[in-house]
Amino acid sequence: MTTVGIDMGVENIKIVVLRDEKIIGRGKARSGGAKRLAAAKAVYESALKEAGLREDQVEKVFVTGKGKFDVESMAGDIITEPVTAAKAAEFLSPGATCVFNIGADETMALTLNKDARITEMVINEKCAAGVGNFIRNMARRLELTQEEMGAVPPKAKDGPAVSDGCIVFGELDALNLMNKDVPPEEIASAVLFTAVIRASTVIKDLTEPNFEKVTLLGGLTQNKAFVTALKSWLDLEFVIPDEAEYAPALGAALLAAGWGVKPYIEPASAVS
Amino acid sequence: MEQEYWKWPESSWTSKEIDWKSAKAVTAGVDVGTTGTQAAIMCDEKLFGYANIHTGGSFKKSAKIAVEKAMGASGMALTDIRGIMGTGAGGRNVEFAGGFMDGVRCQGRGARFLYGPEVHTVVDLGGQSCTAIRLYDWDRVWDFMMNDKCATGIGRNIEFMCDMLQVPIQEIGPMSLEVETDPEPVATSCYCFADTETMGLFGRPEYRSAPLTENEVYAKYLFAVAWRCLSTIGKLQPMDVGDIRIHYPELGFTGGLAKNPGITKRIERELKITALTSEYDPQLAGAIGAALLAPAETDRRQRQ
Repeated sequence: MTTVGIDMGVENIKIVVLRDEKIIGRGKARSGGAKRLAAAKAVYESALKEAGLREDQVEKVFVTGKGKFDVESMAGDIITEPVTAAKAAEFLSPGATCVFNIGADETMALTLNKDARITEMVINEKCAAGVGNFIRNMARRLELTQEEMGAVPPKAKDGPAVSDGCIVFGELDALNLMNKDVPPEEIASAVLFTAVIRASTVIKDLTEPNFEKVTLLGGLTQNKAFVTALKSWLDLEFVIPDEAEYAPALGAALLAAGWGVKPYIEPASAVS
Repeated sequence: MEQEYWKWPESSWTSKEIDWKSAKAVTAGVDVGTTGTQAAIMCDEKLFGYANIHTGGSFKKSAKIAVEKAMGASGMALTDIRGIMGTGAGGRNVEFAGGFMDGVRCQGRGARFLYGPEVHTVVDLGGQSCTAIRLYDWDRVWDFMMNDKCATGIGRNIEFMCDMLQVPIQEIGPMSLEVETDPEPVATSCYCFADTETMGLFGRPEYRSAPLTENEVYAKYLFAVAWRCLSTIGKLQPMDVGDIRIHYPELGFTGGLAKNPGITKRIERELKITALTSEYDPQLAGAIGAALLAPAETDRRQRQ
């Protein structure tokens, strides 16, 4: 069975072509406002080309992500982000008890039970939005690449610091540091640190956390300095699958294929 | 190489007619903003050269590059300039400057140069801050008002949103005006909320019966920016206290966003006025003002 999952993120569109539980094609392109549908169609075609398929050979297309309603015309079904993230975690790191998904705009923490069902979900509050956007924007402002930003490892004390309230105050503080002629690398480290704090508030908001096997997903897994800082700040070990960036798209493709879909059983407490 | 939608064009110009060697006073102003850096060189209160560049990772370097571009191939050296004044959010980083002056006075003075003596209200729409300035008949600031802390970074954020929405920064303003009626703005408190709301507007199920067009989304976003500026302008003291009337006579926009009609036209519409126009780039106002104020300020400091 051949299925396609499309993740319409605010920054990037990710596509995974799946056949018999194997990824045979993938694609990634910049997202962006009104051009999202056109960009999705283009990257869909290139992913199919990579897989060596024609459009009529694809049986099902499921979409997820913030821009999922844009591509309704292409989609067989629309899946919300937590469900695809949980499904991808179940596939990529079986036995995951906690899923932590950090993207450009949204940060999300899930607790899974032993059947890989979501028992709790926390999404960032409104002021903590845009962790990935913030890092991307500050990299451009400081004229550094995202790799160079991690040159000075983030530290909690004894360095320049920026506000962890929201991206507005954080950016303002970073620019004040530039005004004081602090080296860009040190400002970058402060920026990464504040992004870590803002992302970790989400996972700390879980009321019944189970950190036995935490799986980290989302675009920010590609930023090594950020991941290292997050590990040390939360004092947790993460499993980061190879496909972490494509995870929501993969989850959508898996759901389209009906992989691991179990019949729903009423919880015992609800029956009585 | 992907297209960089956020990049506004840089510019520089040096006069070929003015002979700077015979000028009595050669002064310069450097306005280091968080988004753009401008330098202006004045010979006897006439514009001799200017440069308008993106601010890089180091404010010091950006200031130097801007002045060098403004001097161009005229053969002028930094030592030939009698007074150099730094201004703007990063103005204290102009190492070769004789002094630093706050942006309000420089923008006011620069606006008088740009728009002539009739300008009485100046609205500086910058990358970091929105400042409303009211001037006396002579070149002095009567009253000014800065934006709230949450309303900071409006100009910077337009760069960022153009990058995210993949729309060229010079076109977002004109495109946003191509709507029949202006839709309600997105969140007007801070750009963090406005960004999240704007990026989620496309293809939203709530709008399925009457989907928002691309231009309407830009209109909603830029109206929120204009709204934040309007709240700053509205806090200026009223002009006529006897019969308290608030009006904004002879208003001139300065700063980078003055070149975005999506914002200026909306402010003009809400205030029921028509803004003054100038042959010069309104973004240069701060640098020109600093250059014009440099000699007097340097003399005063030497006397003290």
